[in-house]
Amino acid sequence: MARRFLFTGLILMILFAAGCAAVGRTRDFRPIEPSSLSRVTPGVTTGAEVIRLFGPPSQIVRLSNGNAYIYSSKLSKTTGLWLAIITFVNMDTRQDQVVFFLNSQDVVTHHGASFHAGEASYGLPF
Amino acid sequence: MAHRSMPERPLTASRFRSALILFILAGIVFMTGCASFRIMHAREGNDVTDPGNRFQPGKSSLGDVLAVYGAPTEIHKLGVETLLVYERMHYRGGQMTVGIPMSDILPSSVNLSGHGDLIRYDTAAFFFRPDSVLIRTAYVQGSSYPFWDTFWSDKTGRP
Repeated sequence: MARRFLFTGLILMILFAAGCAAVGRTRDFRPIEPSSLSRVTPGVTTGAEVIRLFGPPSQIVRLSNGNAYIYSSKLSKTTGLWLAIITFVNMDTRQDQVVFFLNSQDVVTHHGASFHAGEASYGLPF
Repeated sequence: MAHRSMPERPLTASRFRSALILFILAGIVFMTGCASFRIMHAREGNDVTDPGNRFQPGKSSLGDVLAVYGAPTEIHKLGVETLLVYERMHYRGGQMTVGIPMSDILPSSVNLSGHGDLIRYDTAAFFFRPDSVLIRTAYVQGSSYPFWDTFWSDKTGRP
């Protein structure tokens, strides 16, 4: 009886040692305040005011009729599961992004926003 | 001369069970050191839906597209046109490795591995005139393509 317990315990210990799980979270953070969008008025707000409200843009794209300021922030959630010889890895990355289009007079003409970083989720790859 | 031989011990049930357990233990230890499988799935970007007939070239504006789709993933200048790209990446990959770790006794180990990766994209593109009026749209839902057929096919387009 004691030997049976010993063998069972040994098998469980090896399986436990050979298998493990991990979760990861990577935040590519930039402070984008959704509430600040209400203070931007197309045709009125200037590029300097946008920078004062949102800080330096992540990226500036030069366009034929002005510029676009891009503000981006990402969240990645990773799940890993190791079972003896099989590894499962799942990664979901979503982003918050705000874009301002400015004309050649450096005045905002349009803006768009997507806030989906909070929708990133943990899970298995199937 | 008398012939003497050792009597054979019968393989009892308990000895068989012990041998089986030892075999399983050895198998687990051997396999964890010699074979591994990895399955990966990654997605990046926000969901991109089909614009369909929602926008009218020559009538819809940049503001109309931004109101529905939000901020684009990428913005490009194409001559005098402006291109907005919305994209979500779907990645699936797998790797199988079989090897015999002999680095303790030989300078190198025997190792055989294979891997496969498939990246599909859901992409919507919107082209605008300098006055911010929509010229045309394009959309492809790569994630709707079948996984295995797309992975193994050498042809472009839907397998």
